Amino acid sequence: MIIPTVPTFTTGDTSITNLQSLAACAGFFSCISSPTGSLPFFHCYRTTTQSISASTWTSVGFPIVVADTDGMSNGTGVTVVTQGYYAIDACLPFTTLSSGFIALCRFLFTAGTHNPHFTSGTQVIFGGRGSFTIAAVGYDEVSSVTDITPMVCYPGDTLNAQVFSTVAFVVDNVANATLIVGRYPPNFTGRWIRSGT
Amino acid sequence: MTLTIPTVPSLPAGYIVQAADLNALAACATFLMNKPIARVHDGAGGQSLIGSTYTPITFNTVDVDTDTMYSAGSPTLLTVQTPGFYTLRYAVSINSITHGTYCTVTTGAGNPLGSGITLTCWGGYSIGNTASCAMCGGLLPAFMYAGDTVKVGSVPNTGAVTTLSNVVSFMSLEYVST
Repeated sequence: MIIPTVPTFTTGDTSITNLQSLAACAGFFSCISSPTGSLPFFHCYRTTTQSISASTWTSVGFPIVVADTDGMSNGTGVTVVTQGYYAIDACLPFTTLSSGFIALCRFLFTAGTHNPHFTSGTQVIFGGRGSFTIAAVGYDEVSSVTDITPMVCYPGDTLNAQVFSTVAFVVDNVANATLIVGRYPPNFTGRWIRSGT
Repeated sequence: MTLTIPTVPSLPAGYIVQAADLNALAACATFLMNKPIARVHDGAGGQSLIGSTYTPITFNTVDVDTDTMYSAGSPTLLTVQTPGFYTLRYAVSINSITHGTYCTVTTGAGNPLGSGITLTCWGGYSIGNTASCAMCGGLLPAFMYAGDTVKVGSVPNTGAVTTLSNVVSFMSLEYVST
């Protein structure tokens, strides 16, 4: 998506182009469909389990797209299309496989080839939520994480939600049939919040 | 720095629109493109926390600060410059100690309620083992005036230290509305 250029008007200005540029700004921020596009945002989730190996930070896949105004979803996380800062959130339910273990979650930024501030492939972690769970085996836990990107994202950069544990576990939304089935599956959401260079 | 919140012009029927009106509309778009955000994080770790005591977290690294909300002289605070409603996000990462966290808003001299009034909100919690990182965030439940400050702190069960392991502590503010 192209971030619209805010026009400047002069006395006696008859430029329809300027008015269209202003309309493009309104369309960009309105979050409704417009000829020039709307604010980039996404909402993806998963309905299947994902096994996580012990002591390995792993990106959770979010293959189902609810909304994606900028074509960002890549099946696992998102690939930035429009330059700017983003606010992102993730909800990560998991099933305990032992009676107590560490569960951590965070976001991972990976620079693409168009980012002038990072070498392609550079990774930056941000966000973060972690705790020791004392739930019995087979119970559900859930961690949610939220942050804004600590850097300007450029087209081609990727954002992922990751989990980690000292033991193998399962990201899941269907384990505890009496409590949470279908109520909060693993979700990954985000939106453009500000321009930046 | 305080950003000037633009005034949306009124354009009644029959009114001959002036360049100033359209530029005022354009200013609204410019403001939204460049609204205030700030994010700071703890790049040092090792801050000592006292058991059962609320200690504001020190943030020494600025990731982004478009409205001069952070000052190195007050590294536990973000100070609102542009009045409005703000969304807070934070995480506090400490060593193996169970802790609770929350945000404290303190009014400044520019707040019509007077200065020094505090409001606590958005609590977090984490059970400690080899890591303990509490996170929370949401819309601050009060209109913020220039000079109002925001900090986040931790109340560990026993003495603890902030850590950079796995995840690091951060605090951010995002302007959302007048």
